Amino acid sequence: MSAISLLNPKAEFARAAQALAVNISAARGIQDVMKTNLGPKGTMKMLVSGAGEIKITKDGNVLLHEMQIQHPTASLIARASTAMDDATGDGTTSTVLIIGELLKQAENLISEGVHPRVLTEGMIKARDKALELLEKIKVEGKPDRQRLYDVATTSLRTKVDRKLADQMADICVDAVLNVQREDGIDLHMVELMEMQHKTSTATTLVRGLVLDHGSRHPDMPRKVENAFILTCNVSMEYEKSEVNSGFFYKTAEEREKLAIAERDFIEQRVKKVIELKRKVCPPGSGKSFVVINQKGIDPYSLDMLAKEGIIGLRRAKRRNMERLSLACGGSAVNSVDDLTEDVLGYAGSVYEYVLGENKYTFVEDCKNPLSVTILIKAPNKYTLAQIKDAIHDGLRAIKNSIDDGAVVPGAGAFEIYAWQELQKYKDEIKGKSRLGIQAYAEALLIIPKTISTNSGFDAQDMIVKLQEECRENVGPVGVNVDSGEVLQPVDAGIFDNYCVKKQILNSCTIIASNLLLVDEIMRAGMSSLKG
Amino acid sequence: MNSTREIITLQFGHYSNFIGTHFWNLQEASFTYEENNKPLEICHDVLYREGVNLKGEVTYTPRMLCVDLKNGFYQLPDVHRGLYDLNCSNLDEEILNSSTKIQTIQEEKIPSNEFFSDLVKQELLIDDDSEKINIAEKVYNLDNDVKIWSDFLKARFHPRTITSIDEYKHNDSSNVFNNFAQGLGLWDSYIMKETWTDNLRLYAEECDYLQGFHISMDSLNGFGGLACKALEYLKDEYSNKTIIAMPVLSDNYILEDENSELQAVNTSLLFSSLFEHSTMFVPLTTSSGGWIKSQSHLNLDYLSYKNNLDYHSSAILASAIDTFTLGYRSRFGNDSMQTMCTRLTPLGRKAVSASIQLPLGFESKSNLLDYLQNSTLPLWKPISPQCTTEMSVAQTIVLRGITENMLYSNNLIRDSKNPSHHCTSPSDLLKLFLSFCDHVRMTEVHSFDSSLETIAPFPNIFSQSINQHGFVESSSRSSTSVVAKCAAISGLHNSNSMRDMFIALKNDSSKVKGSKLSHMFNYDIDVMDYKETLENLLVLSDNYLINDCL
Repeated sequence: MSAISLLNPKAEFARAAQALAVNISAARGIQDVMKTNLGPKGTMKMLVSGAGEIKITKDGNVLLHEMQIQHPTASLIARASTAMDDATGDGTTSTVLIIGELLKQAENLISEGVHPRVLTEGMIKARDKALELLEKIKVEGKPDRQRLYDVATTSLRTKVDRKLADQMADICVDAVLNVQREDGIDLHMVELMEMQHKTSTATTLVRGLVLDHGSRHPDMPRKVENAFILTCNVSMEYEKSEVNSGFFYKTAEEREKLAIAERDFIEQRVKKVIELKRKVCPPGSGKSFVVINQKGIDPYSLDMLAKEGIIGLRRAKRRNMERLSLACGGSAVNSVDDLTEDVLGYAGSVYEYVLGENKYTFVEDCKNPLSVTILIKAPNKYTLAQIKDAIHDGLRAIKNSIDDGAVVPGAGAFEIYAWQELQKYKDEIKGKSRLGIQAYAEALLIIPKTISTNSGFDAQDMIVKLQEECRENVGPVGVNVDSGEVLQPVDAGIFDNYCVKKQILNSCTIIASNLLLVDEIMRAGMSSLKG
Repeated sequence: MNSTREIITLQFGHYSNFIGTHFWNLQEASFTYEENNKPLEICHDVLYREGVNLKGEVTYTPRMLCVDLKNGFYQLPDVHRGLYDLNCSNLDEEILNSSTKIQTIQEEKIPSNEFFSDLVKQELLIDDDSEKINIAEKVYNLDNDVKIWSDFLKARFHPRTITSIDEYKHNDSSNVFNNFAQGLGLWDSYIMKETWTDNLRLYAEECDYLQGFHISMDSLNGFGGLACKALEYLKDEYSNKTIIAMPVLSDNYILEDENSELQAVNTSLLFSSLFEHSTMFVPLTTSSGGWIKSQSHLNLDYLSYKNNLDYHSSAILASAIDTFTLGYRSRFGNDSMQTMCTRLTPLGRKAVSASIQLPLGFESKSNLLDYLQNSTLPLWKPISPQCTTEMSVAQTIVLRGITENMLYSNNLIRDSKNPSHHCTSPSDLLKLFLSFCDHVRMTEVHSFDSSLETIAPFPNIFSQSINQHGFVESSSRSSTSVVAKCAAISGLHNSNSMRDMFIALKNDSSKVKGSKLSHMFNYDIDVMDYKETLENLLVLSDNYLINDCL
């Protein structure tokens, strides 16, 4: 009889072994779902919603978000894993697998009478050791382009088709290297622009900006070269509102006058821009002028601009204002008073591209673009979404490895190495907590095991081969998913992010030990506890 | 050059979307596709946008963004989608081509209801006359089928219209979205802060003369908080546009949720923010309690509806919105949102109440003069919580469905001294009538010939004595025919009784115990802020004290 049932007869509860069984079966359940996704040879999953909507993915993070998880323990694990993805952009599937495996290993020991507390102590010791080992195995040094490319392909191949992954990796590396500055990398400076296109599936890197809107005046030029770019946040819209409301006028004429003054006020702003244009682009100089405004521009003002041959774009994205000044130079202005040449940016060519009802404006050939755009073209929504997810993850992987200044050999190399070293470490520890270390070491092996199973090879075979190789101390060894043999991940160019591995070790241990220490599950909704 | 003054519509929450669905269905029902027609009274371009899809076909979709929780809606491929989709036949090829294995996880298929099946059939049989189904004349009973708003959504949307919140699920008892602070927090998610604002910007970019926003939000749950953040964003980015906000309160939520004290709290937080960020706001509900449980609800003479069905109550509110916004949506008038708001909200009295009479209760072959003379006052019933429409300082009344030839009976002997015998339009007559019996200082009256198009999926809530054209008839309507259209009157009133509403709201919120509040204010709001908000409501309610303001 649980204590809560005295207080609330309606509460549901599960105690001790039963509670543990609930948690373990949930963790195993979610592990089973995710298992087949791990590694470059993992399966894709197609999710079809009740209304027939399709989503195809292999990314653990996307899957966990899409799947309707009912079980509270399972959804706890899912939330922890997706939080992991939010922080680092990778490692969701691994987290789920290792938590499941840790609980499975623990289950055997607990059924033989080991107290969960002893086990978790051992696991925490093992975790600390594993983190030390991670420091040893990591490959330090500022990563070069090839290394970054390797990291990106490793991460992306586990999420999308191989061909696509290699292509994306290339683009992502170029993008990140372009926006890299002294004070770090701001991934917001990489704009992702989607285009739903009838036939082609192509993703390209534009060294400049692509805006998702175009000019709204028929007479404005569609393509200009050698363009000065003015980015501003100034309303060029005539608002009747301000004169209509209130007590500013007594007679109709007065109101009319106010209205004209108001109109004039906006007109002056446009005239100032035109003035600047005349100054910097004297006729015959072959130069042109583009205004990109965060606020609106009404047809009347557009007309004035068009007469001068100026391209005027209205309602630009707030973040694009920052990107524009990074891509083209110059700076965004909040008022058109005292305009000088210094605030202007420069782009070699600006042109418009129309696709259905959508207009795109390309701002290209910038001198030193510190902001770039990745242009995604695909025929349907779900492909667009899939590519977009992949690029997000690729960018994160590259940023992580630059920030870490180190990478970790992949293909299960770290797990094998940690297993071997933990075996040695276990002997140094006295008491029952070594059981926890043993369980931890075994649990880590789930990663190479699953990778080989998913590639169609026998897991035990593979593990034995790897353990033998590892003992000979030839450096890190991992699974070759194509041949089923042992490979050297450093030579093969398979690298994982250091911070991802570190996060996995930390969060898995904490969640697994918390779940193990649960000895009672109570369920009593707010409604039944009312009063 | 096109000089339509565009409006962007924003909807937050499930009940708002219920109302929205009815609203867009009503709009769609009032379209005419015949050429050489005389131009419609109502200018649909104000709310709709014209676009082109990738196949080069012209599309006409609402300029609207709506937000709902995951599983709160679905989109059937045959009914709702397809406007912008390309043929998906290459899907299978692609899957076959890719080297990786694919595992399919299929959810349970959503069953299609009778209305949708007919809609699909009608589309397929469009060239085939033999078996044409006339949806407009068929009687549907969808009361039990409609669970969520997409169950009766006929209008098609632009792909960027719907935003789905994945953090919370619709009707999820383990992770409910029932407090204001949750909504505030949700604004920081990528889908709102990036995707939603971008979608809004794309609509705004298309508009030449954007005049403002219609924004409706559920006021009892977390969506109030989300909408509140969205309003702050609008204020910032679209600073001098008019914003008419419509917080909506569903009776259904109160009955369902055990934790209903929070709903008064959510509502007061929302209302106080609306005072700050909107140009005018109109709380809408059919139950007289609004944020608290109450037995009584809106009672209209010729309607028998179930107040606990969102499908029914939202239809009435949607009819009201459709009617009272006609003033600035007409093709001929040059009224704008701004002028209407300025007229209705003197001296910081930003909250106004709404009213409706649906159907009008106009006997067929009768005339407006007789109708007005025999009617009981007021002509309408309030649809704002805990307030009346009397003692107003300003009001706007819209009458629809009454044409000029229904003004007088044929055998009226005109008395030259009686001004009511010499009106030329229904609006003149109504205005004259109101000036005699009502003591409102500023009354604006509009009248429109076009009636409310109440064909399916509008619910069958009319009593049997209403005929197919929406007029009262002595013989009852046959059970196989529907009311296809009806006349209605709806208005906005800046009434002194709004003060009572605020005081009631403040009192109900103060009653909520601190222990209930503590888990609500986990972030963003603390108890001090909240107390201040309540005091502020009282201060604002004082705006409604001064009677002789103008």
